[in-house]
Amino acid sequence: MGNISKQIDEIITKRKVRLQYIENAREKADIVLENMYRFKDFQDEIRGNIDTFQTAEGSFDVAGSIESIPTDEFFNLHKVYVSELERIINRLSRNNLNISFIGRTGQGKSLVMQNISGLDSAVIPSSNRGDCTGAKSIITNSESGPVSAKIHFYGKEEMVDIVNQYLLKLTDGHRFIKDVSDIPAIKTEEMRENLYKNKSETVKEEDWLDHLCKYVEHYNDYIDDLGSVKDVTEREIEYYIAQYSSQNAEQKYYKYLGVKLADINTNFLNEDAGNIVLVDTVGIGATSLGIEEEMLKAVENDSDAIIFMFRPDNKRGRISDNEINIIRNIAERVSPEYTKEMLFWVINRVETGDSGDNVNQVNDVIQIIKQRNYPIADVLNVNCSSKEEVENRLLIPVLKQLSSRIQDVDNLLVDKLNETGEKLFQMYSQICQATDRAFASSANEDLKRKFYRKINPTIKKGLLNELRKLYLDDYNNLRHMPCEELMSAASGKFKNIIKAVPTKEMVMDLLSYGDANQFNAYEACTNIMRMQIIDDFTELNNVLYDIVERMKKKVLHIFTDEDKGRLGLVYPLDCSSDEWIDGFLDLVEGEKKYPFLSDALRKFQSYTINVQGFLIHEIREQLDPIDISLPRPDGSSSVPQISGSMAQPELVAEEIVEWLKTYAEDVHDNVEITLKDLYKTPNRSMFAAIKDLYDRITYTMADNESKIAEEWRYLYEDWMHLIWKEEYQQQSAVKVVAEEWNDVVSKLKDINKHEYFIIKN
Amino acid sequence: MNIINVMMFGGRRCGKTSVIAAMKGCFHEVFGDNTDLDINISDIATMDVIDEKNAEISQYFINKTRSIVMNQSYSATQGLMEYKLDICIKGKDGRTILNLCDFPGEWLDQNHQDEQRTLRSKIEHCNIIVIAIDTVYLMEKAANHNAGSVGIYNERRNYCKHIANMIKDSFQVADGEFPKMIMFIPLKCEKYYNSGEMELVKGRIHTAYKEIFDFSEENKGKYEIIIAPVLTLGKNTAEFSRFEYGDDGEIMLDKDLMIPSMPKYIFKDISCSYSPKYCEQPLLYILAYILDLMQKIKSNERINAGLFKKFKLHILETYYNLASAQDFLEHKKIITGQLKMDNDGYEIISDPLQLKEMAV
Ligand SMILES: Nc1nc2c(ncn2[C@@H]2O[C@H](COP(=O)(O)OP(=O)(O)OP(=O)(O)O)[C@@H](O)[C@H]2O)c(=O)[nH]1
Ligand SMILES: [Mg+2]
Repeated sequence: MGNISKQIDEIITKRKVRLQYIENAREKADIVLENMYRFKDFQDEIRGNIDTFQTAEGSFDVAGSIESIPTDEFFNLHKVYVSELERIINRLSRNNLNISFIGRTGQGKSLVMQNISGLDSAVIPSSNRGDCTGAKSIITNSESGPVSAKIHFYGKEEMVDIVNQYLLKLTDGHRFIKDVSDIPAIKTEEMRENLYKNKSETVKEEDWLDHLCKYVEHYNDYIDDLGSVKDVTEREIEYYIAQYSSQNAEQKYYKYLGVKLADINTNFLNEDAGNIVLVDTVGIGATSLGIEEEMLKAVENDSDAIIFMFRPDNKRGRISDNEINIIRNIAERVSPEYTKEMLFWVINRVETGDSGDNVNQVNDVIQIIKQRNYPIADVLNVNCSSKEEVENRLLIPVLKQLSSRIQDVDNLLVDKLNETGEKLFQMYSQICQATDRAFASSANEDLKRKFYRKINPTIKKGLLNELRKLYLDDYNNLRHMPCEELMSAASGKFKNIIKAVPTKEMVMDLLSYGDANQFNAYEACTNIMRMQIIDDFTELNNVLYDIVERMKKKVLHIFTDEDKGRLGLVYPLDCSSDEWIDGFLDLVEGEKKYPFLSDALRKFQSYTINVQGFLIHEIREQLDPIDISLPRPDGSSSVPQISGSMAQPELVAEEIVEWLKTYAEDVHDNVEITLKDLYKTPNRSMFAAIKDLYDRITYTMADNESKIAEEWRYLYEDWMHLIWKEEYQQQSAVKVVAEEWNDVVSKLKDINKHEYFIIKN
Repeated sequence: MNIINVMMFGGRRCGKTSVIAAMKGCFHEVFGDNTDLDINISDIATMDVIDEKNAEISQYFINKTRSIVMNQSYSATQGLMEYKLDICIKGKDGRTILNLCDFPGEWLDQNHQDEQRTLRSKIEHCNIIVIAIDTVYLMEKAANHNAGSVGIYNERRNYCKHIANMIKDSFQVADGEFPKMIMFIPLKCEKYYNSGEMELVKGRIHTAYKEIFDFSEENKGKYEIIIAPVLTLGKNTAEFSRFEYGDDGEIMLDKDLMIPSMPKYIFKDISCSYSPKYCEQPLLYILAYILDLMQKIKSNERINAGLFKKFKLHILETYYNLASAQDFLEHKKIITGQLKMDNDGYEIISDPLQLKEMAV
């Protein structure tokens, strides 16, 4: 097996592996849908009994707010998501790579396919006599055996749809048929008369009518085949797909009217073509209806690479709107990122022939295409009547691109799918949030009074006092202690200072560069080292980030834990601190309803420590020994003595390394000592952050009132249906609904998770 | 005949032998034309070792490379060595023998108990202890820039605590006995000398050998204590560069000793030459001690002698040229005038010999 065919096989195998993930996602999509339907049923139920609920709950309209949670948009997007999923499943489960050929009629499509597959014009009709390919065909490269084909015919319903397309157009939507058996009775004569009478007929309409007539007149040619699949020999293929015999143009065929697809197997001329399939599409611009859409579907569903055929006219040879539109429509359908990898624009160069050569035009056209920035992979100049050129200038470049890039394209498609998945997830999450809000603020004064004994201690003891303990007991002591983690991370960085000294080989490289002398090389080394050291220490930000995040999590656990502030029952803390604060405030509409509280949380959220703030400048100061632009403290030059001669670069390099190591040692020791004083900073800073949060959520006053205490109380009152779910259900007047509701909603929330919507790529 | 015993102390490769070599190198300078003192080597053969040490040091300056490693064990002292020097006043009778005792730094290790017993018995008969300090290990890799902290490898290299204990145990001065001398000689301090950090070196010696200083405080008037840095190679010569690192960025350590195995030195100016500095100071201090001791012995002899013995001494000094207390005092004055007592890390911490007063 050759190289290309082997690569294609590998791609197909890898696709199968990935396919499992996608199929998995497909199953999850069903689970999501099922949950959503259950929710919708519940909404419908409420909608049906809305009066009952209203009276039960008094002034607050829980039923109304449940019933009005919108889901239509979700269902629509879910449909799109599933169809994208299925398209990818199809794509990845194929056992071949598909190359689609598109273009207007008469551009050389069939010629190219003949020259790749080795099939002759009887099997792949190609002719200068206009519209000649009657049906779409696909040609599969198969190792052995004689040429054979499976002819797939349309189903009866599909046939009805095809005929109706014409009927509806010609009668302005007045007439249509319901069954194939109605076809012979269509009154085409009458329709033609009407066309003449109205005098409004266009060429197009006449063509449509001609097509319709064929279906009516040759009803008997195709009716018996509908819905079936036939195995045929090479010789018979023509009979099913061509419009006339290749031997004798007078001999017309009509079987093609019922053919949906000719699936042909043959051994391709190129030995190394591998598992590929050529997909022929019906020429755009033919007057048959629905062809462009058919083409786009083929491109979207059945193509790994797309070949767009174009034969410039031998006189004008310009690119017209037609071509530009085709490119644009395809890019719109499958994304320009995709077409930039896999859409090839083949310019068919005609050197001899009935209509003269177009060599000059081809060159012009290619130049123009290259100037303009079309979203295509490449433009190929190919004489399509030459088997050799088709192989070397078309097939091989396309196969090469396919084998090297198709996996990235697959990634791209999965990324796109994930974008939709992400959108769907957002919608889903929003619905989940809306379900939470439905009962928010539903408690009446009685209920509030009953819950006061729960709310008050939760705020004071569970939350505020625990937070006070955290800063007094833990962080107050910590702030006099160095931050161990930062210290140990920094010790790794100290070693890197020494490692930042370039090797002798690197210095020799620098010495050999242009007319650099030993001092240039030394300076270059120090410059590199300084930047490397700063970059390296800047990485300590990761450690600081972790430390701060851990502190924030500790604080938020006090807000959320069930034995503390219990707010996790409103919005669970199974995410980062940042996400929790965002999500929580968003859900409870914090900024609007509890502004002081939100403000305090937002300030806490934005708190960070980074090395740029307290450490980097200190390190920078210690880099002076490796900065020749700065004199030494005693005023002498920072340029060391480098005595070796440039004739012996190795000795010079050795000396430079010795100097660098000597000064790196200075830097190392000074940095280490300088940083010792700074290790306490994070703990001190975090103490301050917690203390500040505590102050804000405890003491904030406005207009001489403790606004913050009020906000805390409102928050717990508004959300008691989640914070004390069971107790609330017992007390609530809508007990029965609440129970069923809980069931539906908790199922909904169980899968309110990324993994249900996103595929790991 | 009087014998003055001097013992070198210090860890391996600290520079004990180098101090003796430096002393020998400046005999001429010290005993030159400006004094009537004379010095003679009584055992030429043993002095070869010292000449070799001097040759080793001058070798650095012949094939000079940018950097050198100074830890070669081939130059280590092989066993207990004693170097005997005769000191006398020209034209006078009566000799003093200066006995310099050197030994391998290894002997201070745990597993050399036998050798240490030998050392202890030597110390008991000793007048002067010279402690050679590898300043690099004292100074490098300290926790901060203050005198209060010393390098983390210091103890393992310089054996400060160990030496302090030996002194406390075996180098005591009985009441009424003559004071003894402890001289700290920081070596390899070019880097700190050049960057003006000798005060810090001094401060860290106080930290590292605190026990010795405390001990002398408790025994006031019994020890003459001096810090006298010596640059055996000379300033602006080979300064400490670094303890060499391995590829992993870690200092390469000697597996047994757990101290850096490759201290590297760098010649910042490759054209520099051998220019030892303050090498004469240890010898001058030793001489000052000897002369002070001799003077005191002589005057004590007189004071304590009976009438007949006094008469005999007088006869010996005037008719048979025996050096008198007055002779020693005069020479002591000349020597003391040349002592360096402050700056560049020099300090006299405890001064029962009153060298400071005599110098003014
Ligand atoms: N840079 C520098 N190197 C020195 C100085 N003094 C001694 N050295 C070097 O330090 C190394 C050890 O010196 P020695 O005098 O052999 O040390 P030691 O204490 O006698 O060592 P042992 O006999 O093994 O215990 C030698 O390589 C000396 O050249 C100094 O002041 N500056
Ligand atoms: Mg020695």
